[in-house]
Amino acid sequence: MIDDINLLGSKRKNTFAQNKIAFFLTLSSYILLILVFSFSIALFILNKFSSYEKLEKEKSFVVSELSRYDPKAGKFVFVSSRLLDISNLISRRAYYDKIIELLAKMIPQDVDLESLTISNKSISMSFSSKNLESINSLFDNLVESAQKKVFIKINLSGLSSNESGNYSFSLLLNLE
Amino acid sequence: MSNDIGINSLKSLYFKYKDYLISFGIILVCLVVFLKIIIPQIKQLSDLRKKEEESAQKIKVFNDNLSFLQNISDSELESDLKVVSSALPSEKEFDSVLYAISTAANNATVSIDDFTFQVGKLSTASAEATAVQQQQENPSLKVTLGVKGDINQTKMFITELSKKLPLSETVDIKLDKKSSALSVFFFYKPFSFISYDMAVPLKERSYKDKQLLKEISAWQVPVTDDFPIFTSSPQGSFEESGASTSSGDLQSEASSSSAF
Repeated sequence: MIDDINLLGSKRKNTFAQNKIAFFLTLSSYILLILVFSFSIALFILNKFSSYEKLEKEKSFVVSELSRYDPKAGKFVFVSSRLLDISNLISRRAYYDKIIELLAKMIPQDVDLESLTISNKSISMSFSSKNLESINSLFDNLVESAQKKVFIKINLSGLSSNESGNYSFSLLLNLE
Repeated sequence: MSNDIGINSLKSLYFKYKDYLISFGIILVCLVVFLKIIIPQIKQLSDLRKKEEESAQKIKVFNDNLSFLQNISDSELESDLKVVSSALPSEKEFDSVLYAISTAANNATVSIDDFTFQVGKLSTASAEATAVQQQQENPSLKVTLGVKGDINQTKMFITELSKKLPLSETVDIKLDKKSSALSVFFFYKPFSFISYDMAVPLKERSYKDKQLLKEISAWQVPVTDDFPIFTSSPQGSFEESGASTSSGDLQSEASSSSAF
């Protein structure tokens, strides 16, 4: 038998293919239906048992409780803020008393400090003494402190002596 | 007649493709439901979960803050507030400044020759200037002092003053054998808007802050209603007598000579 003239054979083939398509379509539709149904049920349950509203209610309650303590919280935050300011102020304060103490220790007994001016991290001092050795000792002490980076610059100016053998001089020191 | 033909042909088409049409229709509806309803719902649910987590976190912080605030002692907080307000007042407090100077002078056994307040303009125009100054980080009241005493006494006075409230900083020193002129800044800070966010966890003060509070609370100078006047006795000691005064009498450039 030749297939080309067997009309029944081709019809059977088509019917089989159509049934196959119909089967897959039906199966797909059932699967999709089940999926949609399952998702819908799951979503419904998840939404139904969501704790969001409960949490929001709890939040509102805690917020209202907390707002009763607003003045106390404000005071606490204010103190914290002021402490930060105070800490900053104290840490950047120039402790000139310590510098004066340090300088006072460096000055030998027979060297007189005539004047001392401290301004803008700069110290100018004028001294007088009859003893050159003591003056030298003062210089040594200052140079030593400069090596320890207490002062970054030391300028000596106007070293002079008068008829009575009294030496006077000025020093300019720069602080770090 | 033609309508009947149309309906009949539709019917025949329906019966011919019945299996396909129903399945196809179901698939189409399911896809539409899935894409238009289920997927947005899933997204919405995910957002809801995120919101729940955020709410739960916030509630935890709120509860922590609540219990923290409940546990803070009112008296301790008031005391801390008093200390920091004394250290950094909200405005120029002349009486506190005078008490700090006089106490420091007394402790260092020096006498104050004269002092000058650089107050600024006490007029309506100054209110604007004050507003501008308020924006500055560290506004201060400058006081120029004449101190009678040697280098050690002056040093001690500066040390004592640095340990008195309100907080101060000695910025200029001119010193000779028996006296000195000092420029001192007394700091203050105007009240600014305090923003308190409930969602930010409140933490207990750090050890450093506690130590700082302890340190500056020891620097407080007790201020009484009577203004102290110290008079130098021949032995170099100081006697205190009381006299009432008001800082409101101070002029824009108030200069005063007093025997401390």
